Amino acid sequence: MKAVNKCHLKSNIIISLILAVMVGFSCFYLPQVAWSSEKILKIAFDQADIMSLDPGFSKGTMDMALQDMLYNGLLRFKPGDITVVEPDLAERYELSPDGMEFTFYLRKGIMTHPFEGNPGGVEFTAEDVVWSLEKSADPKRSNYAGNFKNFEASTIDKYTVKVRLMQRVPNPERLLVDYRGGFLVSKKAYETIGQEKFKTNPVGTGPFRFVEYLPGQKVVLTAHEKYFRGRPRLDGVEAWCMPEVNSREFALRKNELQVIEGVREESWVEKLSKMANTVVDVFGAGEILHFHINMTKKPFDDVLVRQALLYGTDRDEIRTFIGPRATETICGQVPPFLPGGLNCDEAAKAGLLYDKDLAKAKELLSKAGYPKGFNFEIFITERASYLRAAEILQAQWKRIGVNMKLNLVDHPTYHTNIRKDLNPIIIYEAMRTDPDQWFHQMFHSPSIVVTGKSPMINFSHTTFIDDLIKSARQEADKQKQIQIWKQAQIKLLENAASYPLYLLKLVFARNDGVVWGYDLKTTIALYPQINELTNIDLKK
Amino acid sequence: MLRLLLRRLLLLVPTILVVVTLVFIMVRVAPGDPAIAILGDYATKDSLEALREKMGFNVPLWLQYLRFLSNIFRGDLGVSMLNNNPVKAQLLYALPYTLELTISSMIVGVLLGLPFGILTALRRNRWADYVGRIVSLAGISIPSFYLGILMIFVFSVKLGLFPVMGISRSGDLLGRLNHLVLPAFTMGLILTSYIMRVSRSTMLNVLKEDYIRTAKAKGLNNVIVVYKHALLNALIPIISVTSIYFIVIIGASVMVEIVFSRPGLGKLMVLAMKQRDYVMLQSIMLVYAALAMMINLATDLIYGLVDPRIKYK
Repeated sequence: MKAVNKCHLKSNIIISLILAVMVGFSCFYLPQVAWSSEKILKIAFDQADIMSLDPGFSKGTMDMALQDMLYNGLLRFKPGDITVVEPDLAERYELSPDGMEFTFYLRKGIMTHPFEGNPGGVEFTAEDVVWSLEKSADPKRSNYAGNFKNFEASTIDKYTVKVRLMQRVPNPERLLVDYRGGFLVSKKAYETIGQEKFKTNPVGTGPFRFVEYLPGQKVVLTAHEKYFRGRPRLDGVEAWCMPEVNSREFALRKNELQVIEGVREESWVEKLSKMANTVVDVFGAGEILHFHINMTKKPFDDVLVRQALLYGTDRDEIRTFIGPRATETICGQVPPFLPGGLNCDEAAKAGLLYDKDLAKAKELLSKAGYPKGFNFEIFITERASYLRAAEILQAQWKRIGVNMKLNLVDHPTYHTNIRKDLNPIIIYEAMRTDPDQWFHQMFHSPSIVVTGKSPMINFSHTTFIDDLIKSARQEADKQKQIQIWKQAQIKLLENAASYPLYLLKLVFARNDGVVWGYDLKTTIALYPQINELTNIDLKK
Repeated sequence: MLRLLLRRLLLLVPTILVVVTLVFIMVRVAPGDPAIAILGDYATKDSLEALREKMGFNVPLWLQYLRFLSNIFRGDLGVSMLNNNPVKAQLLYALPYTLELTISSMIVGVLLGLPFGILTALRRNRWADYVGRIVSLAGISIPSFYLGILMIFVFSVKLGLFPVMGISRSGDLLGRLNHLVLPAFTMGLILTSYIMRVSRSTMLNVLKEDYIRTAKAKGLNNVIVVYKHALLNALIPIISVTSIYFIVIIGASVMVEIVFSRPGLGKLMVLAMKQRDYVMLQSIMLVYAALAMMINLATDLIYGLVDPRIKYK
């Protein structure tokens, strides 16, 4: 009996000790408030990993956001407002009377981030501008060569650059902003690090400099002490790759993150708006969702069929489904906040709103020889914003007897297939900073997929506005140029080559202690820009 | 034993060769142009051609295959088509986190699954057995990402005991463990269900054996009957199934890696598949094949330790 009691006592003691260790362990690691004196803003994106931090190559929200923090352009969009272009690396610029030559006067003393062999960085000069623009125009070093091969840059002196256009393009200054190929890089830094390594070891002139990249996890930036606009208020930024939205939400709730990319839907905006200490920012520019109709494939080669589809589409219903806060009605191919964008009043005046009219749609189909409608199939990507639009259109067109079968593929396959011209209807989401880019890439005949001289994304095979595109490019008078663009959009709508469905805005949520430092209305960088004025209140 | 080891190590080479050849063919047959996937919608014809040339896709398939094999044999896994970083470095970064997660999940699964499996076998058709079977069925049914989100909600958000995301700084062992608890328990609890079920069924079979009846008839203590006589004989199938699950969860860890924002091979593989990064995908499959073979080998060796009747020729 005594032996049994001793045995029980021993096991009780052991069990108690184990429990004590477990409790002690968990108590020791109870959540600790991050009272670090460093102001590090943590932001998470819906992306599994970055692709490239080389400004010649960017894909995905996170790449573009990081590049926005790392680099500058000759010019920039005013933070929070893409309708205004202002100097960035250049302190001022002049345009020649013929509109074909810029002279940029760089700020003096712009220092790059430190890099190998140059712990203090190097001064960014005119030579770097010329070299960067040549890089942007080189298809081996840039994805945006198509936009930049039109520029010829040369140095006048250490701080003065001349940029000549080979061909007139409208609003060329909008190509030289801090966006995609417009980000400029130090020649010495790029050549020291090497093109391949630069993609994950970038050196720029921006408010934040690169510290480390943990694949599939995060990119860490720290404040650039010598930033030409002044040392940032934040000490650093951590940009996290978090494709799971619930994880992002929980981390925001626990203040492990201060800003998160959201879901571009009403229900999500509403849910996060009710969360304590949280502000939801819904802002532009976002992306416009169009559907393009391939006019070379039967029965879509008949304008009556195409117009029937437009009358069978109910944009208001689509917006109600996705949510009015996350979307905006768009009536022209170019958004109205860009110069030359067609607004809904103008489209209505031209009788081209194509408001839902099922009877008219059926009448047009009947006239075209399809009184009972017809069937067809398309490939569609699994990406939510595209798939959702396709499913809604499928349901809406069914009402007029047009049955669209959706063959689901992954996103890379979708893009391959639509560039092979396999779809009769192409749903596409995009944003461009300038009307000429919209028209040239989507509706200019050289850009026709497969058969064009330099194929891009003219899925509809539009050829009838080539003259208008050319005239707009050659027109020096801005107001006349705007009218030509509007005319082009009218023609596109008359021929029902494509139809804009809605503008999908950007949705981010943040801790209410985060202050952007500017008035956030629109940004092209696909995220609420974090710059030298952005700050966080640590106590929140 | 040594001969077995050598034989199995030699078998590794042709097995991996078959696996990587299959992967080489499958990724190239799958639709989707990697150049478009990488460059996106601003890509011009020139930049697409330039990238295809750089990636070596403009040469015949057989030549691509020979170059690929030659690189493998030289230990050169190439660079990622997405970010141009050496694949080896990325794999060496991600692999320890995947192994850390799967091993800790296995530990949780075995430490919980085995005793509960034994308990439910001993208490057959009583309330403990019923509860155990319902719980194990729930565990098998629940998707790992959903369980992970629930765990975060309860233990991180509501109770504030563990962090939501990430892996902690290197060198901070306790922090790393802290970040590991929830992901390990997420996968571990699901594994518990599988191990519990297989333990229960093998124990039930063994407990019916004559030698168990004899042991009880001899008056041996119940603990000795169960743990010395029954369990040791039940271990072989349990080890077999456990090793299979180990291989499975190395690949299945991707959902937990995504939910808990941890780096790992699973995440790398999914991204490589989505973006058609052939080079990365081939190398990851090579690593998986090698791991699977080594786990099988380790399992065979453990059989010999557990059951002295097994001799290796």
